[in-house]
Amino acid sequence: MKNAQFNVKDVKKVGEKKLHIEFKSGKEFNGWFKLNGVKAKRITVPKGRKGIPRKTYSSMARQLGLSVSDFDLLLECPLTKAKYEKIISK
Amino acid sequence: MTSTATNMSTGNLAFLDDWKNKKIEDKEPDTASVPVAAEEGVATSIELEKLISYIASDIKRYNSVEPNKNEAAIFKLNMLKTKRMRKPLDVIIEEDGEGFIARAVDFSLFGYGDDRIEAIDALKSEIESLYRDLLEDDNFTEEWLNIKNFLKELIVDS
Repeated sequence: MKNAQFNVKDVKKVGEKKLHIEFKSGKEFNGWFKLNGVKAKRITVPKGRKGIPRKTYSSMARQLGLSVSDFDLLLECPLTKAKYEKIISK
Repeated sequence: MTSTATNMSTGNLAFLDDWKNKKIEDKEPDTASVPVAAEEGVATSIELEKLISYIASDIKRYNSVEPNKNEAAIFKLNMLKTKRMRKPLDVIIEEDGEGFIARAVDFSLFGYGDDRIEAIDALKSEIESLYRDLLEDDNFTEEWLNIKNFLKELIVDS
């Protein structure tokens, strides 16, 4: 688990750039990932946290339908949008 | 409970003796706080009041025990911030880093906060936010449509 390497801004940035998630700003940031135009996954990114605690990190991975190690890869960059779509379509 | 009430109303205080003897067997008696029934078998109202307050303080002490900070606890959420619910929702609350995370058991939603109350409040906001999103349209996967139906049955719209 590489939660110590990333902060909430990184998660939001990757979500926006890589997965084209449009975040809505409420108490937290929330956004939907669309698979073939259908809202398929919803992620919550807590506001105002510098680091991401372990269970919050796992919960965000779970919301995206990813294992923690795949979530690490998504944030680190090797996991592309196409690969992500392949994982959640299984 | 019924038999206890009957015993009390008929003046049969054998149950008090049993309770007193059990306490003595368990540990040294705390004579300052344990009420004692009258030897003749008739307790005064003062003694009964002492017994009731003793039991009440025991219950209070039991309920106020702070759970171990590291332990996950299951909590029944009965209300959201602005909406009521028809039945309670199970929530797991546990320590996470320097704060706490509250997670819904039935779907993948969480709230984070510096303490348990803040985490639960954040989760309540998340549930309401998700509910609003789901009511916007029906462009969701089957999984989310099921959650939408679940929340529609759970949440009282007012």
